[in-house]
Amino acid sequence: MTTDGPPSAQEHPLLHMFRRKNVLSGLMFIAIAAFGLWVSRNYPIGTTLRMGTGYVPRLLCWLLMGLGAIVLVQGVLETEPPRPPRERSPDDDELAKLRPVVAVTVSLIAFALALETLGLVLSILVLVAIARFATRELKASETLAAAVGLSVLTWAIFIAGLGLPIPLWPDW
Amino acid sequence: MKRTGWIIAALSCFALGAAASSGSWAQDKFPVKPVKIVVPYGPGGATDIVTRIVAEQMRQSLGQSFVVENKPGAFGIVAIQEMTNARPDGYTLMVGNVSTNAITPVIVPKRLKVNYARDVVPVTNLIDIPAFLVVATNNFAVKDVPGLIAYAKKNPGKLRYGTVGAASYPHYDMAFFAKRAGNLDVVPIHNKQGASGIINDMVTGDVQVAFLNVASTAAQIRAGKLRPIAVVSPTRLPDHPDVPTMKEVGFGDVGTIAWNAMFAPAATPRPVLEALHRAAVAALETGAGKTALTKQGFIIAPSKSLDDARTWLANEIKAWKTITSAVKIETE
Amino acid sequence: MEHFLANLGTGFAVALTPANLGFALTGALIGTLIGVLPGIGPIATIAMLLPLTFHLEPVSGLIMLAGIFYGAQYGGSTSAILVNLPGETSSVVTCIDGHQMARNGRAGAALATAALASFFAGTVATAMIAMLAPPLALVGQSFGAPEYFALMLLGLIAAVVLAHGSVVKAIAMIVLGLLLGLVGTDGQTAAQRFTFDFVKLSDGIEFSVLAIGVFGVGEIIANLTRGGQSRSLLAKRITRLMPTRDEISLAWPAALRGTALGALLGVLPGGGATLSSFGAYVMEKKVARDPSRFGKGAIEGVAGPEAANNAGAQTSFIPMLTLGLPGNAVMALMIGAMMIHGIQPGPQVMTERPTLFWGMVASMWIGNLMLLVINLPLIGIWVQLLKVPYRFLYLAVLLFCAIGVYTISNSTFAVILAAMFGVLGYIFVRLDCEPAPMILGFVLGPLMEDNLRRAMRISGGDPMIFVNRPIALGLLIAAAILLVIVALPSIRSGRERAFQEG
Repeated sequence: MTTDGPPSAQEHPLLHMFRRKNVLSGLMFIAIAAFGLWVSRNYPIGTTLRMGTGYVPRLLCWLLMGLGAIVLVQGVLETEPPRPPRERSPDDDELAKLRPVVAVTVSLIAFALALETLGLVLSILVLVAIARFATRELKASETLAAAVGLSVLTWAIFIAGLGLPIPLWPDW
Repeated sequence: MKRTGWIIAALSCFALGAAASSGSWAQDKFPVKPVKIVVPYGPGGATDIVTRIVAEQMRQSLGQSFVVENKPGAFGIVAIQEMTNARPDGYTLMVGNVSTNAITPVIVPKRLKVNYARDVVPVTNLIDIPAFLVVATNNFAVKDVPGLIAYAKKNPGKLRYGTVGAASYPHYDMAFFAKRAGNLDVVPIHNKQGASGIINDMVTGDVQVAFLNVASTAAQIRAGKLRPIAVVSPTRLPDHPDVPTMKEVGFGDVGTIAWNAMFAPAATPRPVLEALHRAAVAALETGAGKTALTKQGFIIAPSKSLDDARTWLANEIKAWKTITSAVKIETE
Repeated sequence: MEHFLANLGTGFAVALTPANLGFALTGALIGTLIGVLPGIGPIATIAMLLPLTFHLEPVSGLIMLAGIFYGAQYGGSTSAILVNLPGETSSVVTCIDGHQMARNGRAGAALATAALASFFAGTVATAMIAMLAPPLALVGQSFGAPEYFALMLLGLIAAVVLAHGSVVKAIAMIVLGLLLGLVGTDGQTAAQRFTFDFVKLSDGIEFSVLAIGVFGVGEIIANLTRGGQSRSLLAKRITRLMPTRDEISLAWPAALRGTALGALLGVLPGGGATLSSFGAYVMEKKVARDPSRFGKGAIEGVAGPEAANNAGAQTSFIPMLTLGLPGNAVMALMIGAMMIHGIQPGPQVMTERPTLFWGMVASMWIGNLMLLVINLPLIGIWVQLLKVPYRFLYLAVLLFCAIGVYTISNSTFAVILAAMFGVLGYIFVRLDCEPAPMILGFVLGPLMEDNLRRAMRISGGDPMIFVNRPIALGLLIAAAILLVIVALPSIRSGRERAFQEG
């Protein structure tokens, strides 16, 4: 089965186990199921013949938890093929990988919050200004060019072309 | 990197300034900028189409575009709140129907974050949609309303009727009918696909009876797959002179004439409301608007005045309070 | 037959007037554009353009609107293949192998295959409408709640086959999809489930928000974490644009099978079309000699579903044209467009308005031909787009995702939701959890629950309704057989592994 990244020599075996994809997947399914069970804790369950609001959700959550447990056990038990040791590449740097995750997510949320008050053009600036931090490779001048270019392109397609009712500028 | 930040900031300031300077300063003349009409359904439904036809005619008469914005969701709650949260200046309106603007405020007032009676006023009713009480012909021999009642009494729990969902108006209508006809034991079959889904259920024989709008049933009535046994309308329809009205068969208060009406925030200045009322009514009466609406089976039904619209809405709400307290929709 | 040719002649005489050719071209172009863009779909576009058609001849208006509808089906696969962004329900499947082909430098071949398979399917399905519309319409009318439930169950079991990794994980993803499908108002009790007091969640999660988030945004994040973004999306050099001889010999039987399946499912009004592309993919994977190629850029995984999708789009006109019953929202709009001109859609249209009926049938084929003519030259341009450095491309795709999600219901809440699903989609990529089964569970779950409840009400609580109705019984038996076929390999491999470890 697959594992994520090579084990480094000094890593504790237990810690290493948490790098396996199946272990993490199993934990994810169990966590989602537990969250679902907690949210639906007050939904009436009813009986099999007259199902209440909570019957199907709780049934599915328990099912998901069971499946998650199977995936988890599979992950713990899996035997790993020996791998040749290799240099740590930048691809293994988990912290660096958080950068695009945060930048992309925050840029979308900021765009959403800005759109109906600031209008399309300023929201595009906001999105580009935040999303550019997802990569280190965009030069400042390129970011600006992209923001202007995308503003014109979106205006042409969505406002002029399709006539969508999105405000272009703030409504003051 | 720093420099970009500054450039973007400067650009934003420029944009803000430009927007501010072009703001609304002419208050005396209405409208001076595009008007937004919020619709509580996605594009393509009956309410959306009616709104688009009316909006196009209003654009031509008032010289500003009337932009339709679909805000579907939660039985109209999303759209009602969108409108009431906007500035009450006449530039944000709503077109809703009997479900979103008469039934929702009655059955889920707590989920609305606004006080409907206080914060929303009708501008005018736009159109009415008459309905038939139709029965299936596939394996079903009932030909009139007394026959239907007799069948339901003889076969308790066997007569199935079509609705578009729990607590929808077709659901209330038939439940109310069953109650008035002597507490008939009838079974609702919900079909989220709307009229066409119910018709399919009736053609396959899974459903025997339903209240359906006249336009949707026309083709199947001609083809002999559905039989109208009563019409929900004050008078018989010219195209179906042999179908009696609900009143004639003894159920004058049963059945919904669905409608679409235009609404505005209650604090909108009276002159603006008057202007909108006149323009909307005129839009219904123009040649192109009238043709487009009547051809699709809608009946042009504008309110006579703002006050007339207000009385009409109050009566609708009162009627729905009566119906919803008379039939408790079983929420299993 | 002579009669048929005469009718078709009438049709082409109407459809081939310069004006109507122009309307077909306009519709196809608009359709392609909105299909490529995420979010905004044919329903919204047709609704916006409907008032324009009031001034046109009825047949011209319908030809243009129909052009938008199937143009969107073509365009949807383009963004799925190029940037893993499904524009429509049907293109989720195209993402799986189509985008993988693009990563392998075969974007041109994938796009060409999609276009050619769609054209082929469109041609066959149009011929079917012309010859078999009335009997096919009867198939649609024999489907009630129990039949739909059985069909959806069959689809759900088939969802397991969509994944190429662990079966247990695939099932877990389906269950997760079913759970996401529960979000919203419980249809029976009107109670709120998993809505966290957000009014905007009370109608459930919009399909496109989930799909664009998990596939589109998730893919952007995943690409950015891979490092070395200055190079383009392509892992390998673009090789020739057209499919090779080997690829064609794999693709055409797949297109044939997909067409047959799609044409049949398209006739069903209650969500049958949703299943067509998923079904075709599963079928291809099951008949393939080497199923392990799927998910890594198998051309049959593009040809089959694309053909099925287009055939289904075409035959979904049948209930509308022959019975006046709209099978989906687009068809309901087409009926509106007819009624404005005083045409009552229904069984009579064929005999009372032969020019309209046959003109439309002929224009469908012409529209498909036009789409091919538009799309084949575009392939070169689309592929060039992939050469844009990723540091620019990701900004554009991200922005289009944001605007697209917003336009679905003009909701900024939806954009935030899509951002959340984007993170989830990235986690799925990292953990090798394939999202396609989840999407199918999400789509089918609510339909299944709804039809099960309806069936039980119709029968008065008697489950024998599934046995007494032959079509429902047949589908349930097929589902049981499929379950065995799906389970067998994993049981076998499980035993082998047990032996190894023991």
